[in-house]
Amino acid sequence: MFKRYELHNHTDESDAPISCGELIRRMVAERVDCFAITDHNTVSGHGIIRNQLERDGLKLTCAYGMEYTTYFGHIVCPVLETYVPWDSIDRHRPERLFEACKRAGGITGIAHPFAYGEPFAMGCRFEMEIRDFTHVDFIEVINNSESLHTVNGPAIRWWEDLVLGGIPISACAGMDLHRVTDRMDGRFATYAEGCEGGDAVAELRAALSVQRTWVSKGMLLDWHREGEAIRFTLRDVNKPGFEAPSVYTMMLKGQGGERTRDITGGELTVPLSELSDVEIPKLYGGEVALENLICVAPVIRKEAL
Amino acid sequence: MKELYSVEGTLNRGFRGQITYTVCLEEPCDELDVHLTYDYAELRYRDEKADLDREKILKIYGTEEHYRECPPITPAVLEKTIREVSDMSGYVITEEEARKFLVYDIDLKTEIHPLATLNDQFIGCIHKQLPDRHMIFREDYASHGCIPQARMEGVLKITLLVFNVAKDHTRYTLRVSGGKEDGRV
Repeated sequence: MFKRYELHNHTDESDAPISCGELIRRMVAERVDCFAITDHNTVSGHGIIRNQLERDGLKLTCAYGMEYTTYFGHIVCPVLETYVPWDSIDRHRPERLFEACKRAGGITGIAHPFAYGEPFAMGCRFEMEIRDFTHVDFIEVINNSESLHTVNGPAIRWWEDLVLGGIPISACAGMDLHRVTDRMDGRFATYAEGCEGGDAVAELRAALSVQRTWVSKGMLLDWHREGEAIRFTLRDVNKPGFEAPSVYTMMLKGQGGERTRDITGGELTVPLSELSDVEIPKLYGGEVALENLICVAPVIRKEAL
Repeated sequence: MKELYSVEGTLNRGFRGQITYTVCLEEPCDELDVHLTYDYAELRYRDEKADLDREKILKIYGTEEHYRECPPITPAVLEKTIREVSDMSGYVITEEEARKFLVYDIDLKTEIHPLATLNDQFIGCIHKQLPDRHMIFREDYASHGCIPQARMEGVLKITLLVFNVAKDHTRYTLRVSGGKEDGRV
């Protein structure tokens, strides 16, 4: 089965008007499998959420994290149960903070890397110089609160450049939820494979370790090796509000360039011989355009098949 | 509660970074109040070319004098604004629209957030756009962003996280007060 993750959410423990209880109710209504609390620079909501989930006997899983809101960009940690200080943040050596978070058992991601900076929101744009991505689990390629073309488009391209350059890093999406009125239908969420009753946080961690996460509006582009080919399959994950298009187009972006194929009947098979060593599959509704993007699928690495 | 520590400071425009104050709590406290205030300032510009909407100016700036104290709109500011708005919305605004935006609409505030640790353990941070805020710690209560604390003693560190200072000579005041259930400190 596929589990839906909402990895970037705020409450009134930092700058959002939504309370911890309202956040829980929102996630239940959305049928989310696992959500993270990622308030700005505080972990004070962890105990509140934990108590409410226990009190109400909810099966919903919470990942207890935080969003580092630094002077040089935001680092969203969907899992970070222990506060790790960031007072020695160095924009030229940010790896030290990422590494410290990982040592503390955290999951680390770069949030909205191309968000607007000066003079509109100081510190929102990611200005840190990362040379070593070893301790960066993912890039938030879609932040649903940000502009699709001017913030998320560049984030997707940056992630693609890193992946095609040989960096094993996952793609994720986040709501960056702040208000009860923030719409979640038609927005992207993160998906990963899991088991009924399985530990959703452990399953996310496992998915990130092998870069098998999906960023999707509600239809996943799944793939598996079958002999000397890759079989692509569309899987509807029943995300509330998802409107299926009449035509699906798959794009493969690899070192050899970009190729598109129509998907009819929900399946498509591509011989391995037609693929580059690394391919990024993406799914569109209709023609290939950012506003038609439906899913960014896990990267295909031939050597790992 | 009794005041344990008080400090005042001044920040220059554009400062980004942090300032940490360390206080040794000589006596255990059952309640702690860390109170930070600073001059509230929105960064706005004055437009010497445009006719003023006096009613709007008074509503936003308080007095015309305050408006006159704002930095002038320069060609560089104008160009940057048009570019940023275009990047943000995809809409290319005219110079006149940019001037109105800078005078009436831009919403950029001084942003300073307090973070507290006790004996090197994180106990809270208030990341909210408020120029006056209290971090209250008790066993059964903590203000937003903070974690309840039963008995507080040892080394308290308060760090001011400074993201944006809209105006030169922005003053701030930090006060730490503590108390015991029996009313003593």
